[in-house]
Amino acid sequence: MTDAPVLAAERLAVSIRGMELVSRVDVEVGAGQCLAIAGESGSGKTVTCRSFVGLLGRLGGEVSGGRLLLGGEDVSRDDERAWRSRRGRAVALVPQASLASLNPVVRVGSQMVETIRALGGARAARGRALELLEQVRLDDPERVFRSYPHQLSGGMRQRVMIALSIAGRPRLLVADEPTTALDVTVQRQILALLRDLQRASGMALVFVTHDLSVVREIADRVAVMYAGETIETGPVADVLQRPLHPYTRALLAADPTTAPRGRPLSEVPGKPADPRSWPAGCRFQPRCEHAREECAAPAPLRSFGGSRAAACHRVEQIGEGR
Amino acid sequence: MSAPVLVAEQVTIRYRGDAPPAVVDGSISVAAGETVGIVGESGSGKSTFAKALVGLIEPSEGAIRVAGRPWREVRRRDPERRRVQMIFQDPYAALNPRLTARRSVAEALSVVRGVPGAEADEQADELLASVGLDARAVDLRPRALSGGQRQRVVIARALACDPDIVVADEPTSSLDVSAQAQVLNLLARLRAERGLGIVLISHDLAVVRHITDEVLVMRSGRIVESGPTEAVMSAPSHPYTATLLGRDAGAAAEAAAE
Repeated sequence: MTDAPVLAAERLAVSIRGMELVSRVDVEVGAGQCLAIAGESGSGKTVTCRSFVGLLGRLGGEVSGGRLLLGGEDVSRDDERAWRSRRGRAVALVPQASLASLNPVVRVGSQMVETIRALGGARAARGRALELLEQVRLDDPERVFRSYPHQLSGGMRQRVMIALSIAGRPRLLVADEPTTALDVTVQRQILALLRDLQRASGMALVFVTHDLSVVREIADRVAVMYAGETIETGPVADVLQRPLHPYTRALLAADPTTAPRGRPLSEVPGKPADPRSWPAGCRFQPRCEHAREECAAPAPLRSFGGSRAAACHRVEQIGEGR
Repeated sequence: MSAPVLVAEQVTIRYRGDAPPAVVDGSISVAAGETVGIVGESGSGKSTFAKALVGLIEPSEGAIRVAGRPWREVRRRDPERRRVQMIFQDPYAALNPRLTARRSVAEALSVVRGVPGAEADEQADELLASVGLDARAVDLRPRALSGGQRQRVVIARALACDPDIVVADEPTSSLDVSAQAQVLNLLARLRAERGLGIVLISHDLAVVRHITDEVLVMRSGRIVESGPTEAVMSAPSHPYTATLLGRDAGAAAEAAAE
C-alpha cells in the first residue's frame, strides 16, 4: 500500500445532526503535495476539513456516505477512540488564527511540553519544544517558551500553533484558513513557513481557504467547492488560468485580484444554495448562465485529462477559459 | 475639477497624551466623485484616521474641514454634518437589529433630512431599490439578511443623508468574494451616477487597486507613500509599499529592519 495517497476522499458525504452539509467530495493528496480546498462560506469546506482529522463527532456529525481513506486505509466509520490515537500523529490540524486556540493562563512552553508528552515523548520534552519553536522560525525560542499567549503577536501565536501541530510529525497536516485574521505581510510569512515545512518533511498539506490569491501562493492542486460538492479539481495553474466550471469562472471574474481593472466585477446572480434544500440536478444550475435542460440531472465530476476534472454537463459546449 | 469637500491637513491623533500618536501628520483631500484608498496593516492608524475624517474623533493637532468648516464647529443639525458619511466593516453591528431594512433607511431620512413618515418609507424603498436590494428583503430585519444585503442597507442608509463623500472602512472584508463584487460594483456605480466621492480604507490591495484613483499607504501612523493608485502599485517608491505588495524580498527585509 506504499503507493496509496496520504489522503483520499471518494464521493465523501458528511451530515451534521442529520443535515447533509457535504454531499460529494472527491480529492486526493500525496506525500509532499499541497492541496487547497477553496470555496465561499456555506460551501462545506470547513466541515470537509474537519472530517479529515476526525473532528466530526464534536460537531454532532458523521461520514454519511462515500469513503475517507488515510494511506489507503478506510477510516470512514472510525470512532473517537480510533481518531484520538491518530490525531496529532498521523494527522494534525492547524486551526484559524485566534487568541482562543491557546490556553491564556498557561505559558506557551508548558502547553507544548504537555502536548509532546501526550504524544509519547516524555524524555527531553523541553528540548523538543525549543527545537519545534526554532523550526517555525521564531527568533527567540527561549523567550517564546516562557511567554503567555497574550504576550505574543498574532503571527507568533500562529507559529506556535503550527509548532504544536507538527510535534507528532504528522503525515497529513490540515490547515483551516490559518492566515485569515493576519496582516498581509505576516500572512505571506506563514504561508512560506507552511510550504517549507511541508517540503522539508514530505508531509501532505491540505489548505482550506476562501482566498484565491492564497491558493496561487501555496498549493500544487486545488479543489473548488460549491454547495457541498467538489465542482472542479486540477493543478492550480490550469484551474486558475483556464477554469472549466462556470462557478470557478464566476469566482475568478468576481475577484479583484484576477478580474480586469476598471470594469465591473462579475456578479453571480441569485443566492448561494441552501443545505436545507439543495437544488436538484447540478447544484449551480439555478445561478448558471450556461444552464440548459440537461443540467436538471446531477453533474458528477468528469475527467478532462491532465489530471483535471469538473462537475459540469456543458464543459465541451462552453469551452475552457475565463 | 470640483473643489475638495473633505480636507485634512497635518492631522495628529493621540488617544492618550503619553502614548505614541495613532496618526501623525495625516493629510488628505477629497472632492465629490473622487476615490481615494487608504491601505495599511493593523495598527497603521488607518481606521483612526477614517474616524477622524467623519468627525467621530477630534484630532489632537491639525484640522479636518468639511466644505471649509472644521468638524469641531459643525453641529448635529448643520448641513455640513450630512455631507460625509461612514460605512463600517461589520454591517450587522451597524444596523439596529429590531428595524427592518426599510425602517433603518426611513429613520435616517426623517431624522437627518426631515422627510415626513409615509414619504420617508417611499423614498427608503426607492433608495433600497437603487442599491440593488431585492424588493422582498425590504421588510426583513438584519438577522434575516445575507452579509451582502446588510451592507447594501448600510450603504442605502448612508445615501439617505445625501452625502458628497462616504468613508468606507473595510466595507467588504466580512463578505465572500461574490458578495464583495456586488458591493464594489455598487460603490463604483454610485460614484459614476451620483458623483459620490469615496474614501476606501482597506488592507486588501486588490480591492483598493480595483476601485480607487489615488492611494495613501500608512504605516505606524504615518503616510509613507501616496499618489495615483496605478503608479504606486506598479512602481512603489517606498520599501514598505513593496513589502505589502509582496514584490521584493530584499525590500521586505529592509522594511522589517527599520
